[in-house]
Amino acid sequence: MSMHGNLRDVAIPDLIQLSCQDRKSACLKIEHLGEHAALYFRDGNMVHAVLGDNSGEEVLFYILGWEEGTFDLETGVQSPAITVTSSWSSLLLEGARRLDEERNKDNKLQSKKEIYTEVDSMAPKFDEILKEMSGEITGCIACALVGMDGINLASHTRVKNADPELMSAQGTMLLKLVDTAVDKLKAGQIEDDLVTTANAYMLMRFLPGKSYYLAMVADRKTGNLGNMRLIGKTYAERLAKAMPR
Amino acid sequence: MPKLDQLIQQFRSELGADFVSTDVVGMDGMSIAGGSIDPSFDSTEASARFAVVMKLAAKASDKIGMGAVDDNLVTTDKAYIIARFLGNGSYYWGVAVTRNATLGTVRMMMNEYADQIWDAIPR
Repeated sequence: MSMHGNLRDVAIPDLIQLSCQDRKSACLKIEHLGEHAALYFRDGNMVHAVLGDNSGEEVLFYILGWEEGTFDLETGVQSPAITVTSSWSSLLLEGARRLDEERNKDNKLQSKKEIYTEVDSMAPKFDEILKEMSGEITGCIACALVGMDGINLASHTRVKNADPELMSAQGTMLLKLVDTAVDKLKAGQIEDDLVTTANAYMLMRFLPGKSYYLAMVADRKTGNLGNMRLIGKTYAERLAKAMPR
Repeated sequence: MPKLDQLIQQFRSELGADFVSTDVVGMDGMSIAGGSIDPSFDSTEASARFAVVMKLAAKASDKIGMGAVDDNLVTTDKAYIIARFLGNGSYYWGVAVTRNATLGTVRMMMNEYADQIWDAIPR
Protein backbone atom coordinates (compact mmCIF):
# COMPACT_ATOMS: atom_id res chain seq x y z
CA MET A 1 0.00 0.00 0.00
CA SER A 2 1.31 3.47 -0.69
CA MET A 3 0.33 7.02 0.06
CA HIS A 4 1.79 10.17 -1.42
CA GLY A 5 1.16 13.83 -1.01
CA ASN A 6 2.44 17.28 -0.14
CA LEU A 7 4.03 18.41 3.11
CA ARG A 8 1.77 21.47 3.03
CA ASP A 9 -1.16 19.15 3.72
CA VAL A 10 0.44 16.63 6.09
CA ALA A 11 3.44 17.51 8.24
CA ILE A 12 6.42 15.20 8.78
CA PRO A 13 5.69 14.61 12.52
CA ASP A 14 2.18 13.49 11.57
CA LEU A 15 3.53 11.10 8.96
CA ILE A 16 5.91 9.65 11.53
CA GLN A 17 3.09 9.15 14.04
CA LEU A 18 0.91 7.54 11.37
CA SER A 19 3.66 5.14 10.38
CA CYS A 20 4.51 4.20 13.96
CA GLN A 21 0.87 3.73 15.00
CA ASP A 22 0.39 1.44 11.98
CA ARG A 23 3.07 -0.89 13.39
CA LYS A 24 3.95 -2.13 9.88
CA SER A 25 7.29 -2.09 8.11
CA ALA A 26 7.34 0.98 5.93
CA CYS A 27 9.53 3.48 4.15
CA LEU A 28 8.73 7.22 4.09
CA LYS A 29 10.57 9.06 1.30
CA ILE A 30 10.58 12.84 1.50
CA GLU A 31 11.79 15.33 -1.10
CA HIS A 32 12.53 18.97 -0.27
CA LEU A 33 14.26 21.41 -2.64
CA GLY A 34 16.21 18.65 -4.31
CA GLU A 35 17.17 16.85 -1.09
CA HIS A 36 15.89 13.29 -0.63
CA ALA A 37 15.48 11.69 2.80
CA ALA A 38 14.15 8.27 3.73
CA LEU A 39 12.78 7.12 7.09
CA TYR A 40 12.21 3.44 7.83
CA PHE A 41 9.73 2.00 10.33
CA ARG A 42 9.27 -1.37 11.96
CA ASP A 43 7.06 -2.67 14.79
CA GLY A 44 5.80 0.74 15.86
CA ASN A 45 9.06 2.66 15.80
CA MET A 46 11.44 4.46 13.51
CA VAL A 47 14.59 2.37 12.97
CA HIS A 48 16.59 4.14 10.26
CA ALA A 49 16.86 7.62 8.79
CA VAL A 50 19.09 8.47 5.84
CA LEU A 51 19.85 11.60 3.82
CA GLY A 52 22.68 11.39 1.31
CA ASP A 53 25.75 10.10 3.16
CA ASN A 54 24.25 10.87 6.58
CA SER A 55 22.10 8.59 8.69
CA GLY A 56 20.66 8.34 12.19
CA GLU A 57 18.70 10.63 14.52
CA GLU A 58 20.43 13.82 13.35
CA VAL A 59 18.88 13.28 9.89
CA LEU A 60 15.44 13.30 11.47
CA PHE A 61 16.16 16.50 13.41
CA TYR A 62 17.40 18.11 10.20
CA ILE A 63 14.31 17.30 8.13
CA LEU A 64 11.68 18.07 10.80
CA GLY A 65 11.83 21.71 9.77
CA TRP A 66 10.85 20.93 6.16
CA GLU A 67 7.43 22.44 5.47
CA GLU A 68 7.53 22.29 1.68
CA GLY A 69 8.03 19.21 -0.43
CA THR A 70 6.47 15.88 -1.25
CA PHE A 71 6.30 12.53 0.47
CA ASP A 72 5.79 8.94 -0.54
CA LEU A 73 4.90 6.36 2.12
CA GLU A 74 5.12 2.70 1.19
CA THR A 75 4.34 -0.20 3.53
CA GLY A 76 5.98 -3.61 3.42
CA VAL A 77 9.47 -2.20 2.89
CA GLN A 78 12.21 -3.56 5.16
CA SER A 79 14.85 -1.25 6.56
CA PRO A 80 18.38 -1.84 5.25
CA ALA A 81 19.93 -0.71 8.55
CA ILE A 82 19.27 0.22 12.17
CA THR A 83 20.50 3.75 12.92
CA VAL A 84 17.72 5.03 15.19
CA THR A 85 17.01 3.49 18.59
CA SER A 86 15.12 6.18 20.56
CA SER A 87 11.32 6.07 20.75
CA TRP A 88 9.46 8.07 18.11
CA SER A 89 7.68 10.25 20.67
CA SER A 90 10.93 11.26 22.39
CA LEU A 91 12.49 11.99 19.00
CA LEU A 92 9.62 14.26 18.01
CA LEU A 93 9.79 16.06 21.34
CA GLU A 94 13.54 16.60 20.99
CA GLY A 95 13.05 17.65 17.36
CA ALA A 96 10.40 20.20 18.33
CA ARG A 97 12.67 21.56 21.04
CA ARG A 98 15.57 22.00 18.64
CA LEU A 99 13.38 23.70 16.04
CA ASP A 100 12.14 26.14 18.61
CA GLU A 101 15.64 26.91 19.83
CA GLU A 102 16.77 27.55 16.30
CA ARG A 103 13.83 29.82 15.54
CA ASN A 104 14.01 31.75 18.80
CA LYS A 105 17.79 32.20 19.23
CA ASP A 106 17.49 35.93 20.04
CA ASN A 107 14.02 35.60 21.51
CA LYS A 108 13.57 35.97 25.27
CA LEU A 109 10.48 33.73 25.39
CA GLN A 110 10.67 30.23 27.03
CA SER A 111 11.79 27.28 24.86
CA LYS A 112 9.19 24.61 24.09
CA LYS A 113 10.99 22.18 26.42
CA GLU A 114 10.57 24.59 29.32
CA ILE A 115 6.91 25.02 28.42
CA TYR A 116 6.41 21.24 28.33
CA THR A 117 8.13 20.97 31.74
CA GLU A 118 5.84 23.62 33.17
CA VAL A 119 2.78 22.02 31.60
CA ASP A 120 3.82 18.55 32.79
CA SER A 121 3.72 19.83 36.36
CA MET A 122 0.11 20.90 35.77
CA ALA A 123 -0.84 17.32 34.73
CA PRO A 124 -2.45 16.30 38.05
CA LYS A 125 -4.72 19.37 37.90
CA PHE A 126 -5.73 18.58 34.31
CA ASP A 127 -6.42 14.97 35.33
CA GLU A 128 -8.84 16.16 38.03
CA ILE A 129 -10.67 18.42 35.60
CA LEU A 130 -10.94 15.65 33.01
CA LYS A 131 -12.18 13.17 35.59
CA GLU A 132 -14.87 15.61 36.66
CA MET A 133 -15.80 16.30 33.03
CA SER A 134 -16.05 12.62 32.15
CA GLY A 135 -18.62 12.22 34.93
CA GLU A 136 -20.79 14.87 33.27
CA ILE A 137 -20.65 13.49 29.73
CA THR A 138 -23.37 10.93 29.21
CA GLY A 139 -21.89 7.66 27.98
CA CYS A 140 -18.30 8.94 28.25
CA ILE A 141 -15.64 6.46 27.10
CA ALA A 142 -12.56 8.67 27.35
CA CYS A 143 -11.41 12.24 27.31
CA ALA A 144 -8.01 13.84 26.90
CA LEU A 145 -6.19 17.15 26.73
CA VAL A 146 -3.92 16.87 23.71
CA GLY A 147 -1.14 18.96 22.22
CA MET A 148 -1.11 19.52 18.47
CA ASP A 149 1.89 17.19 18.36
CA GLY A 150 -0.59 14.43 19.19
CA ILE A 151 0.76 13.76 22.67
CA ASN A 152 -1.57 13.74 25.70
CA LEU A 153 -1.02 16.19 28.51
CA ALA A 154 -3.66 14.34 30.52
CA SER A 155 -6.40 11.79 29.93
CA HIS A 156 -9.15 9.93 31.68
CA THR A 157 -10.86 6.73 30.58
CA ARG A 158 -14.02 5.16 31.90
CA VAL A 159 -13.76 2.02 29.80
CA LYS A 160 -11.04 -0.58 30.37
CA ASN A 161 -9.80 -1.19 26.84
CA ALA A 162 -9.81 2.44 25.68
CA ASP A 163 -6.39 3.60 24.45
CA PRO A 164 -6.26 7.39 24.93
CA GLU A 165 -2.79 7.73 23.38
CA LEU A 166 -3.89 6.05 20.18
CA MET A 167 -7.10 8.08 20.11
CA SER A 168 -5.15 11.31 20.59
CA ALA A 169 -2.61 10.53 17.89
CA GLN A 170 -5.30 9.66 15.34
CA GLY A 171 -7.51 12.56 16.40
CA THR A 172 -4.69 15.07 16.04
CA MET A 173 -3.97 14.05 12.45
CA LEU A 174 -7.63 14.39 11.58
CA LEU A 175 -8.07 17.72 13.36
CA LYS A 176 -5.00 19.17 11.63
CA LEU A 177 -6.31 18.09 8.24
CA VAL A 178 -9.75 19.55 8.93
CA ASP A 179 -8.20 22.79 10.20
CA THR A 180 -6.11 23.09 7.03
CA ALA A 181 -9.14 22.41 4.84
CA VAL A 182 -11.28 25.00 6.61
CA ASP A 183 -8.48 27.54 6.46
CA LYS A 184 -7.84 27.01 2.73
CA LEU A 185 -11.57 27.24 1.98
CA LYS A 186 -11.82 30.45 4.04
CA ALA A 187 -14.76 28.92 5.89
CA GLY A 188 -13.99 30.72 9.14
CA GLN A 189 -12.19 29.79 12.36
CA ILE A 190 -12.70 26.17 13.32
CA GLU A 191 -14.20 25.59 16.77
CA ASP A 192 -14.65 21.85 16.85
CA ASP A 193 -14.86 18.67 14.81
CA LEU A 194 -17.29 15.86 15.56
CA VAL A 195 -17.03 12.40 14.05
CA THR A 196 -20.07 10.13 14.36
CA THR A 197 -19.33 6.45 13.94
CA ALA A 198 -21.28 3.23 14.34
CA ASN A 199 -20.08 2.87 17.94
CA ALA A 200 -19.19 6.34 19.18
CA TYR A 201 -19.19 10.10 19.01
CA MET A 202 -15.72 11.65 18.95
CA LEU A 203 -15.59 15.40 19.56
CA MET A 204 -12.43 17.47 19.35
CA ARG A 205 -12.58 21.09 20.47
CA PHE A 206 -9.70 23.58 20.21
CA LEU A 207 -8.59 25.53 23.23
CA PRO A 208 -7.89 29.23 22.51
CA GLY A 209 -4.63 29.60 20.62
CA LYS A 210 -5.11 26.21 18.93
CA SER A 211 -1.97 24.68 20.45
CA TYR A 212 -4.11 22.19 22.40
CA TYR A 213 -7.48 20.59 22.05
CA LEU A 214 -9.95 18.72 24.20
CA ALA A 215 -10.93 15.27 22.92
CA MET A 216 -14.05 13.47 24.12
CA VAL A 217 -15.34 10.06 23.09
CA ALA A 218 -18.81 8.87 24.08
CA ASP A 219 -20.76 5.72 23.38
CA ARG A 220 -23.11 6.11 20.41
CA LYS A 221 -26.03 4.38 22.09
CA THR A 222 -25.89 6.05 25.50
CA GLY A 223 -24.18 9.34 24.59
CA ASN A 224 -25.97 12.62 23.96
CA LEU A 225 -24.52 15.00 21.37
CA GLY A 226 -25.99 18.16 22.79
CA ASN A 227 -24.74 17.29 26.26
CA MET A 228 -21.29 16.47 24.87
CA ARG A 229 -20.94 19.75 22.97
CA LEU A 230 -22.12 21.85 25.90
CA ILE A 231 -19.90 20.10 28.46
CA GLY A 232 -17.01 20.23 26.02
CA LYS A 233 -17.37 23.98 25.55
CA THR A 234 -17.60 24.60 29.31
CA TYR A 235 -14.58 22.50 30.19
CA ALA A 236 -12.47 23.73 27.30
CA GLU A 237 -12.78 27.21 28.77
CA ARG A 238 -11.87 25.87 32.20
CA LEU A 239 -8.84 23.98 30.93
CA ALA A 240 -7.69 27.03 29.01
CA LYS A 241 -7.75 29.03 32.24
CA ALA A 242 -5.71 26.31 33.98
CA MET A 243 -2.97 26.51 31.33
CA PRO A 244 0.32 28.11 32.35
CA ARG A 245 0.96 31.58 30.87
CA MET B 1 -28.60 12.81 -13.56
CA PRO B 2 -31.98 14.54 -13.42
CA LYS B 3 -33.23 12.58 -10.39
CA LEU B 4 -30.14 13.42 -8.35
CA ASP B 5 -30.24 17.09 -9.35
CA GLN B 6 -33.93 17.22 -8.44
CA LEU B 7 -33.28 15.79 -4.98
CA ILE B 8 -30.46 18.26 -4.38
CA GLN B 9 -32.73 21.12 -5.45
CA GLN B 10 -35.49 19.89 -3.13
CA PHE B 11 -33.08 19.67 -0.25
CA ARG B 12 -31.77 23.19 -0.92
CA SER B 13 -35.32 24.56 -0.97
CA GLU B 14 -36.16 22.94 2.34
CA LEU B 15 -33.04 24.37 3.96
CA GLY B 16 -33.96 27.86 2.81
CA ALA B 17 -31.87 30.87 3.75
CA ASP B 18 -29.39 28.84 5.82
CA PHE B 19 -28.11 26.97 2.79
CA VAL B 20 -24.55 27.72 1.63
CA SER B 21 -23.38 24.78 -0.42
CA THR B 22 -23.90 21.09 -1.12
CA ASP B 23 -22.08 18.46 -3.18
CA VAL B 24 -22.31 14.73 -3.78
CA VAL B 25 -18.69 13.61 -4.13
CA GLY B 26 -16.93 10.44 -5.15
CA MET B 27 -14.08 9.29 -2.91
CA ASP B 28 -11.76 10.37 -5.73
CA GLY B 29 -12.70 13.91 -4.67
CA MET B 30 -14.76 14.71 -7.78
CA SER B 31 -18.23 16.20 -7.30
CA ILE B 32 -21.03 14.66 -9.36
CA ALA B 33 -23.85 17.02 -8.34
CA GLY B 34 -24.50 20.08 -6.23
CA GLY B 35 -23.77 23.76 -6.05
CA SER B 36 -23.22 26.81 -3.90
CA ILE B 37 -24.95 30.15 -3.44
CA ASP B 38 -21.64 31.78 -2.55
CA PRO B 39 -19.58 32.57 -5.68
CA SER B 40 -16.41 32.89 -3.59
CA PHE B 41 -16.81 29.37 -2.18
CA ASP B 42 -14.76 26.92 -4.27
CA SER B 43 -16.87 23.76 -4.13
CA THR B 44 -14.38 21.86 -6.32
CA GLU B 45 -11.61 22.41 -3.79
CA ALA B 46 -13.99 21.72 -0.89
CA SER B 47 -15.07 18.41 -2.44
CA ALA B 48 -11.47 17.27 -2.89
CA ARG B 49 -10.30 18.36 0.56
CA PHE B 50 -13.19 16.78 2.39
CA ALA B 51 -12.77 13.52 0.49
CA VAL B 52 -9.32 13.31 2.11
CA VAL B 53 -10.85 14.24 5.49
CA MET B 54 -13.44 11.48 5.21
CA LYS B 55 -10.81 8.92 4.23
CA LEU B 56 -8.66 9.84 7.22
CA ALA B 57 -11.69 9.85 9.55
CA ALA B 58 -12.58 6.33 8.38
CA LYS B 59 -9.00 5.13 8.85
CA ALA B 60 -8.70 6.75 12.30
CA SER B 61 -12.01 5.31 13.46
CA ASP B 62 -11.01 1.88 12.27
CA LYS B 63 -7.68 2.04 14.11
CA ILE B 64 -9.27 2.99 17.43
CA GLY B 65 -12.08 0.48 17.04
CA MET B 66 -14.95 2.95 16.83
CA GLY B 67 -16.60 1.31 13.84
CA ALA B 68 -17.60 2.72 10.46
CA VAL B 69 -17.87 6.50 10.16
CA ASP B 70 -21.34 7.93 9.54
CA ASP B 71 -20.48 11.60 9.29
CA ASN B 72 -18.04 14.35 10.16
CA LEU B 73 -19.33 17.72 11.38
CA VAL B 74 -17.08 20.77 11.48
CA THR B 75 -18.19 23.85 13.39
CA THR B 76 -16.56 27.16 12.50
CA ASP B 77 -17.47 30.69 13.52
CA LYS B 78 -19.16 31.14 10.11
CA ALA B 79 -20.69 27.77 9.23
CA TYR B 80 -21.47 24.17 9.94
CA ILE B 81 -19.96 21.75 7.41
CA ILE B 82 -21.35 18.22 7.45
CA ALA B 83 -19.91 15.40 5.37
CA ARG B 84 -21.80 12.15 5.42
CA PHE B 85 -20.92 8.82 3.78
CA LEU B 86 -23.53 7.47 1.37
CA GLY B 87 -24.41 3.82 0.77
CA ASN B 88 -21.29 1.62 0.66
CA GLY B 89 -18.98 4.56 1.36
CA SER B 90 -17.93 5.12 -2.25
CA TYR B 91 -19.50 8.58 -2.12
CA TYR B 92 -20.04 11.21 0.48
CA TRP B 93 -22.51 14.05 0.66
CA GLY B 94 -21.26 17.42 1.89
CA VAL B 95 -23.49 20.22 3.13
CA ALA B 96 -22.49 23.66 4.39
CA VAL B 97 -25.01 25.85 6.23
CA THR B 98 -24.76 29.12 8.11
CA ARG B 99 -24.35 29.19 11.89
CA ASN B 100 -27.97 30.38 12.08
CA ALA B 101 -29.15 26.95 10.98
CA THR B 102 -30.70 24.55 13.47
CA LEU B 103 -28.14 21.79 13.40
CA GLY B 104 -30.48 19.06 14.57
CA THR B 105 -32.89 19.85 11.75
CA VAL B 106 -30.14 19.81 9.13
CA ARG B 107 -28.86 16.44 10.33
CA MET B 108 -32.38 15.05 10.43
CA MET B 109 -33.03 16.23 6.87
CA MET B 110 -29.78 14.70 5.69
CA ASN B 111 -30.84 11.40 7.26
CA GLU B 112 -34.11 11.56 5.33
CA TYR B 113 -32.50 12.38 1.98
CA ALA B 114 -29.38 10.22 2.20
CA ASP B 115 -30.89 6.94 0.99
CA GLN B 116 -32.74 8.64 -1.87
CA ILE B 117 -29.57 10.41 -2.98
CA TRP B 118 -27.61 7.15 -2.87
CA ASP B 119 -30.30 5.42 -4.98
CA ALA B 120 -30.21 8.27 -7.51
CA ILE B 121 -26.45 7.97 -8.13
CA PRO B 122 -25.92 6.14 -11.43
CA ARG B 123 -24.00 2.88 -10.96
